[in-house]
Amino acid sequence: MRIKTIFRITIILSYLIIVILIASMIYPIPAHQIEIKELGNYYGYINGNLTAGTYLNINNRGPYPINDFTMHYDLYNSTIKVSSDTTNFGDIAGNKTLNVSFRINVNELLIKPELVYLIFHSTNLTLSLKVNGGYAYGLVKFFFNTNVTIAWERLAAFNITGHYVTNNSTDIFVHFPFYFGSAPFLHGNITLISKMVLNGTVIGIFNKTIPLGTNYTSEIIFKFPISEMNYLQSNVKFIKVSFSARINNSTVDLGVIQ
Amino acid sequence: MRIFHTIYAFSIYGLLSSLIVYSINEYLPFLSLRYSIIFFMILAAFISAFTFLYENSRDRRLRSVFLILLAFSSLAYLLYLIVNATSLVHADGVVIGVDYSLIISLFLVPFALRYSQKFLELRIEKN
Repeated sequence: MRIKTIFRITIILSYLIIVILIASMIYPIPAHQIEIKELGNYYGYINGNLTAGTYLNINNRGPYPINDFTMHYDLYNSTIKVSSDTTNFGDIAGNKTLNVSFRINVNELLIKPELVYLIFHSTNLTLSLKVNGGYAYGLVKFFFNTNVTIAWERLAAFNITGHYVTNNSTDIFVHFPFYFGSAPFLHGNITLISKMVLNGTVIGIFNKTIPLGTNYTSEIIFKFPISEMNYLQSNVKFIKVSFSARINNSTVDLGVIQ
Repeated sequence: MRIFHTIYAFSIYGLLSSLIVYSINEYLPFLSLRYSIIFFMILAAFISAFTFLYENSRDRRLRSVFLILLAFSSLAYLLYLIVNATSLVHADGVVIGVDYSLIISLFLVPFALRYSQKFLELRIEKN
């Protein structure tokens, strides 16, 4: 009989402890004992990375710490992974400010063939964000998943500003003045490849090496013998000029004009 | 009194759990639970049946058998709660998941104590 009583008391006590534990874990949420505030954003070129970040202040006045607070992100251009990183913020008890940042390595943009496109083209990137952690010494685990669309602004711009034709006694020259501007933190050179095409046949090629990180204006000039002037004039509406850029053996289309 | 134990077992384990799950799915559509009402009802039916048989059988050996079956049914119920203890909140392309399986596994302690007590009672009766 005594053993039976001991069992009963122990069962009641264990239920009581579990209920108190659950109540003390739930209570901080309606009591606003866990507050998250955003303390400001930043964006820029930092240590070789294009970095966008925010400072998050987490004030956990609850009885239990947030454990192993970890953030993982993958940044995609369509299905191509642009960047990814995992940050472990550790345990959060009391007041703690976290520096949450997302980075894109600029050198990788210049080197990786699948990423060079982003230098010259604006697009939408998808940020896949996964946050996970534990609460009350890991008794409750949580995760937070979201996909966010982010507008990506190109880092270099190429514009043809017009065209005109000159000639001398032996040749005619078709000029395409252009402007090329790129972000100051880009280093190296690109080769601008221009092709004049008539009915699928390349009739002229012009390559020019341009430094990155500067604003640059110059001209693309196609040269033809003067004997072809009439032929070119009669077919002028069928002539297309395509432009592409080559960086580290990767080629990106910049557009076509007719 | 014994029939009340059976009703209690069925209502607590089956009806109440099903009602909670149904209400959450119906009135809180952004919250999804991994629990199935059918599983709750089947396990509750087993628990109720074995509770009834255990409490109404006079043969001690049969009582032991029904108690073992009742313990296994209750354990299956508890394990079902533990294994599926993840709730997901869907809102504006955001998914928040909460895994509370460790908390529910704490209920294994009173469970073990409860059935140890019942087996002990049977042993005392035997002697």
